[in-house]
Amino acid sequence: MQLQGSPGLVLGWNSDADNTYHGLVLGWNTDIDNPDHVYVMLVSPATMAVVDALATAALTVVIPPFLIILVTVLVLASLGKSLGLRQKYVQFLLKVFEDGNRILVKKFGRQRLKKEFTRSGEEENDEDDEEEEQVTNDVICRDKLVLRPTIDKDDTEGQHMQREFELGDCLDYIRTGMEAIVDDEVTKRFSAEELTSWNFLTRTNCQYEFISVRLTIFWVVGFILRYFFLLPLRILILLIGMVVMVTCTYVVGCLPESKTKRKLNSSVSVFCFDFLSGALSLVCTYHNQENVPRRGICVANHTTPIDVLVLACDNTYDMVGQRHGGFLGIFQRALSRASAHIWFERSESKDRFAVARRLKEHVEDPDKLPILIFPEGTCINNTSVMQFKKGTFEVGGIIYPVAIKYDPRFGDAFWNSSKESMISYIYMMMTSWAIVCDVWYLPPMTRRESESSIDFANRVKAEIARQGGLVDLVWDGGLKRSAPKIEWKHQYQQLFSKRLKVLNVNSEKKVEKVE
Amino acid sequence: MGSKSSMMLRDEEIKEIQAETGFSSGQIFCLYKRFMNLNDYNCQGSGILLTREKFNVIPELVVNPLGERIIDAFFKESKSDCVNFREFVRVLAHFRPIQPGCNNKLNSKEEKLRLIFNIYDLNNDGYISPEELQTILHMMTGESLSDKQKKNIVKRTFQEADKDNDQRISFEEFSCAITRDADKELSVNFLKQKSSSPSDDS
Repeated sequence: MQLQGSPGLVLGWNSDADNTYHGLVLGWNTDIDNPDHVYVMLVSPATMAVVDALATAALTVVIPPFLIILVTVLVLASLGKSLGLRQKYVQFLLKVFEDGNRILVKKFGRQRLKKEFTRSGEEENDEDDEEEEQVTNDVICRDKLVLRPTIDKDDTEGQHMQREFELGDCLDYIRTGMEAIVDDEVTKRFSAEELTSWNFLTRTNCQYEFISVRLTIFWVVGFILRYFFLLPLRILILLIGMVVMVTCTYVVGCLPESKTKRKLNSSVSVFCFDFLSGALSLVCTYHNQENVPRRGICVANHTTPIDVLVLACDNTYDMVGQRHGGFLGIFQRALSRASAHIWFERSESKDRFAVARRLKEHVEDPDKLPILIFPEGTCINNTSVMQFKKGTFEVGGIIYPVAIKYDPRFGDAFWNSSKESMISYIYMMMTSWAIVCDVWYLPPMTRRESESSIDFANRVKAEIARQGGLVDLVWDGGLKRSAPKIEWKHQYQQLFSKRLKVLNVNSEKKVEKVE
Repeated sequence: MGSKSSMMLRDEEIKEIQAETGFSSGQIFCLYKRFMNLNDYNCQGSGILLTREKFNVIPELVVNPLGERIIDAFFKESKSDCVNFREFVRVLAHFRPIQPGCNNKLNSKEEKLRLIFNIYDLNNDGYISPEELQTILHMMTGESLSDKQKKNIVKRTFQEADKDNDQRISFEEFSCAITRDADKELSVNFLKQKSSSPSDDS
């Protein structure tokens, strides 16, 4: 046989009729001029036949059903929302939870569980308890001094009533310090919200699954359902969704800038995000849709990167954020092709003027989409809203506040980026029951004449907290990672000093006590 | 969060703590959860003992002018640089409201005042010296008062409180000098909790 090619590996098909061997030839050609020095490995005809058979089997038996499943999944994921499949699933889950609750209540008695979770209308009859049963998640009730990073204005009202120092003046500080050690406002915002009843996930409670046979069965069935049925399905949808998104945004990006492109971008974007939300069984209820942002800046409370998905399923936004690598980076690059998102390098984001300038340019362009910003700057656990960074509120323009509240019974969406990696977080999300949330679009707000941007930020924050039923906190979300500042102590030291009647440095006379 | 702070307390331990402190088992469970949360709050290698830096993750405590001394109260109880759960609960038990007809060993008026006295008494010699009072005053006022002003306040306070004129304040003199209601001021409003185990009826 003739083997041609450069020195090295050769692959050929020997079809020489005179030769005994027909088939694949794999060899190493050491000397191109001297074909006799070729060492060949022959693939026997038998092996070839086996390979042939396998290929045929794959093509005829395995692939078509796989394709059918694939198409069904695609169709379901796209239409799942309009068919109301996910909503029905969520309703069904609620019934199961209630069932489970009834079992727990029977086992432990009503005192065990929070009143809300028992059927409404059933009044409790606590004959053995005369005082009111405060069954709550709180450990203590704080009705006196609570220290914060900024002093409320009404704390200074006692300023003009100065008194002499007493040994007992420290009692307030000590008591509030001890209260803070037992339960403080801030540290509990960076871990998953505690549930008051069980939702059949071991990650929320470790004791319940072995309490009764029925509960155990519920839990096992749920486990199998989540890990062996829902999880593979969701991963599939995620992968397909990513491919779909990258393709669609690429196609849209090829068009020249025009109104058509923007319209296409909107519909494509909503479709892609809707599809991806199937990967998490996202069930979202949008309220007050007359306030949907069309331009300006949209601000929302931040719990997880899924917030973006939640909001983008209903409306199109241009996003702002730091450039990420890896998983999120793929999305960022894909989205940027189709629309003018604002991604910053890490170094650039520290330059506040550059950031503000880019935001301002975007806001003032009437053709551009509304910008989506999370002023907290970090993920909080959806029980409270923490300090809004004032940068967004200095740009001007109309602010559209949005409140997002997740229902933790179906799966806690909070991501603590310092404790969990992105991959393990997504894994947790995909093995939860579903992600159920409510979104409220609030009426637009603008900064008043005499208002500082910090006050404006606090006003917007208060509105969002009120609508979402969240606690409004003054503390900075950055406390998740960084230590509290010692300087915050100074204002309390100053306040205390002002209240003290001090002797004039020059005089030695005793000043009369003022009662 | 729930599954991480699984009950590592045995029932006997809970009963012991109940007897010692007067907390209900539900409250002990809550305090235990809090103890464990402070333990692995953003820390990689968590033990079952609290160190000073673990207390300092609480922003309210860092903002508190007397924060350092409050934390010291725990380490005084443990006599080392780590605090275990029993010591943690014991110190907090001082702040239970005084309940008539109940276990009031740790939260009697005298015990409450003694905890405050120990916060003033920096060197643990059983007396408050003028220097110690000056240090505490400095913690509470910072740079807002001059040294001279602080000295004057210390002098005046000693004149009033130090009855036997030995230039130091003993615990008895301290108790007399506190005019405010220690029980009301030094009580934390612990709420009733659900029982921690099915067999417990609280």
